[in-house]
Amino acid sequence: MADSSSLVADGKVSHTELFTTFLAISMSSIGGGLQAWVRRILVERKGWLSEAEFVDMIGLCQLLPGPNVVNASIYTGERLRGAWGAASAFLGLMLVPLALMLVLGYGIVSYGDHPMVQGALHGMSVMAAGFTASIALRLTFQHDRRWFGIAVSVVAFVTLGVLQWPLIWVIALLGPISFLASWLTYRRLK
Amino acid sequence: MKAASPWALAAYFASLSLIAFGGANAILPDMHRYVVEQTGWISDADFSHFFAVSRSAPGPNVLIVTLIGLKVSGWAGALAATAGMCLPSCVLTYWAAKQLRNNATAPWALSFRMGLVPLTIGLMLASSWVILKAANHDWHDYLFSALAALWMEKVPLHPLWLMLIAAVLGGMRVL
Repeated sequence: MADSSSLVADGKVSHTELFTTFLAISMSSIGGGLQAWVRRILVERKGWLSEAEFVDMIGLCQLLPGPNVVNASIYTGERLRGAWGAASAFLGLMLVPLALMLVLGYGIVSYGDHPMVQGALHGMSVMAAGFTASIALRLTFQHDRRWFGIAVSVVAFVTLGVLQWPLIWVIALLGPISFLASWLTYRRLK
Repeated sequence: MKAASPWALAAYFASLSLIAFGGANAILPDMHRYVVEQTGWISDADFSHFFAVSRSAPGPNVLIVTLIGLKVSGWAGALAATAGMCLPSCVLTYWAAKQLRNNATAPWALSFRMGLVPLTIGLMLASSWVILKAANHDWHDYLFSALAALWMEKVPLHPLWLMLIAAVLGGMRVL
């Protein structure tokens, strides 16, 4: 079982480097498509994680609530430089996007009523909606079709999207069911 | 648009933080239900605009909450919303990273993750549904969304170019 010795746990990675690395990761996500870059930078360029460690990390980050890349920054930062490392990595990831969002938001709130701005934003929303649907549909058809999984997806879609239940109800209903099913599968495979 | 205190924003987004499995996609339908329909803090149009901007800009898509907070309650609202959204799940992740140092490959973790996949897919589909309805008003909007979906699948050009074209055409009121 891998222990943490393959990670640089002796303080060789500076906070600044954590900050700038995750800054680079966040800047490369313009338009979308973040996860490929995270792997490329953390595993290939920096060598902070091995391929196997990266897979472990992404798995854990997907299991935990919150955006995968945010979780990844905290995980990597913590492993390399503890709590302050997690903070450095997190800030590197979030600070510039946050500042940019505030600037863009200010622009929208101030000039948003102009019909051309409204028109441009409307055009962008229509496209963004199409992109989002495309990704969701592709994942739906790519994933292997076990009837139970399909049932869970359908129930999630209907309760959350159509019936507009609060998310907490949907998670409370389907979370335990999903876990139970996966645990039974795991037991059967053991 | 109605105003609300930054505390109210922080509280609502904090309530979502620990159930945001899969990130922004999971919470989008609930956000729409709450900030557009239940409280009336922002309009459908604002919601879909903020979605498009947060999705195109660098950084995680959850930063849509920054825009919502800004519109509802100014700078304080923007920061409160962002902090509310990020802090609870970040603290949990930090704790988990420390605890699970050597257990990340454990079979239980792998099978739990497999179990989550259909749920995450369902949440993404719900998210797409909600945003399509919020952004699109008539048949030609839906047509352009469909074209965007096809573009994403077939054309190797970065989707940001299409966003730029859409923004220009929309600005000229062609779209």
